[in-house]
Amino acid sequence: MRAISYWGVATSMACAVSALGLTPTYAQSTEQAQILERLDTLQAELDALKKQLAETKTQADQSKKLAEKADNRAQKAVLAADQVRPNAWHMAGYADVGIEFSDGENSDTFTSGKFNPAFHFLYKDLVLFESEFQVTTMDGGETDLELEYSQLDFLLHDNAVLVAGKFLSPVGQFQERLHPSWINRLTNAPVGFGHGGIQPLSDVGLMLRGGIPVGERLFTYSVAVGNGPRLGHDGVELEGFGRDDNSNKAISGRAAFFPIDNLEIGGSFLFAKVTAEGEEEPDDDHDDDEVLASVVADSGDLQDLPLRDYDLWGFDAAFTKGNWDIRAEYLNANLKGLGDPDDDHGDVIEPLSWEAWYAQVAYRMSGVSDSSFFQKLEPVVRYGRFTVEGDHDLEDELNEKRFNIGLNYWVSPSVVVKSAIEFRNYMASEREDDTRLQLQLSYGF
Amino acid sequence: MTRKRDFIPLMFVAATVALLGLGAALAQADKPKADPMQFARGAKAWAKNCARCHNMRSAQDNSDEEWQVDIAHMRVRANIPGDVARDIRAFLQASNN
Ligand code: HEC
Repeated sequence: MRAISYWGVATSMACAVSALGLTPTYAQSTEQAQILERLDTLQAELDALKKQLAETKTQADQSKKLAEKADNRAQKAVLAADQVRPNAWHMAGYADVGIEFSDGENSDTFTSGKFNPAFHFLYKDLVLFESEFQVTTMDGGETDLELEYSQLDFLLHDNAVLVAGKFLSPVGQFQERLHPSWINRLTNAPVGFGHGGIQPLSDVGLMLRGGIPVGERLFTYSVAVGNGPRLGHDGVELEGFGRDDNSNKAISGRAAFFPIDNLEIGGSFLFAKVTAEGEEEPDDDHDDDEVLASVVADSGDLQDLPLRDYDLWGFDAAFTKGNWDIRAEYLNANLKGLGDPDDDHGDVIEPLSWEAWYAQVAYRMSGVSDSSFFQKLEPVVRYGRFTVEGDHDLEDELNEKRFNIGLNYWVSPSVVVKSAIEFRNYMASEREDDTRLQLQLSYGF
Repeated sequence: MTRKRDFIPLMFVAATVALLGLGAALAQADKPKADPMQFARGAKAWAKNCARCHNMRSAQDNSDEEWQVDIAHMRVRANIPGDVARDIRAFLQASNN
């Protein structure tokens, strides 16, 4: 019995020992498994995070791209909103009314003045069409309609514009730049300028013009080839004619530069040939073109008629700074004679020459006083002289010295009430001088 | 001054120049670029150029479309270079409301 219990004890001990030895092995492997398991989950979580991160990155990239696209669109929209229709247009112009009292041959009179509507159409920044009419009531009551200009301007280059059609003459400064009554500081043109003067008014043809920067300064040019002037009753008619009466084209132009910012100095010229008298004057019942066509048909070519050289040159200056507006302009024109003065046979036509100039100073009183009334006032003086030589009748009719003194009230930059006294001193001894009081209201719109 | 025979080639040259120029202008016309300094340059050029012949007109006188046309008109009349005219236009169009 004892032996059995001994073996029993030994077996139990062995069991206990083995159990003791086994237990840690068993405990160790479960922990490992657990760690491994956790590692696996961590790995999976890491993978998931990595995947998420990648997704987020692509999403971010996509959002960035989207944002860029949106931004582009927005910019385009802003640009598009700023842009005006490709065919844009504008109506402008001016109108004036006036009254003139005279102590000379002329009676006191109201003048309905002028209505000058102007139309401008622009296709992109490529072509501009501009046209202006002048509607006036004539002395006899009829309405007169004139085409001041009607031109297509091709904006070829930043420094060159090609003008085609009927355009205001580029010669000098008064006609092209100052004649609209809301710009002109006095109620009329200086003597020798405007209608009946020697400053060319308009021409029909082509003109190349533009401004070229030279360092800090600007140089400008306008060169025109046109049908040119014609000979009329009172000398040379310097207007654009719808058809040339000879094949010679007139070349005219102006070049100007700015020695300082506020001073512009320009030089102008016109070279032309005019068909000498002798052709039938078109009477009013006939259309100019018809008469011209019949003369051409009869004579084969109007070039068969003798031509006379007509040359004109001049210069102008403008100083505009602050309240000051100072301008001066000079023109000199010559019409060559015909025939040899030493030859007793055959007709001799004497040469004719003209000269016209003016100087004008205006001073705007803004800043001079606190009163808003005074600030809108502008005193102005102008002196001008017009002379012709070579024909006694013309000399008596035209030669004149003219002095103007005026006071303007500027309601707005383009609405003005002008008052002026004009002293006309005719140089022909038998003609009496003439003093006029002028009032004018002009509105540029 | 020019005689007929001189005038025909002259016209031809003018027409060719016109066509070439117009082609080049067309190629450029559709590429507007935003330029932050344009406004400042325009304001300066406006002050320098736009009171030489007549009183300075107010920016409020015209809508954007009217300035678009009118500045082209003034560019031609006053021989203002195209780039300067565009700056003045941008300035006026940004100042009229
Ligand atoms: C070379 C002289 C000259 C300069 C410089 C000039 N203008 Fe004018 N401007 C004129 C004349 C002339 C008219 C009248 C046009 C007409 O009636 O044919 C005019 C008319 C206008 C008008 C009235 C609408 C119209 O087109 O008739 C506005 C507005 C105007 N100018 C704005 C400007 C601005 C802005 C500038 C500067 C870029 C400028 N002008 C520079 C000569 C000039």
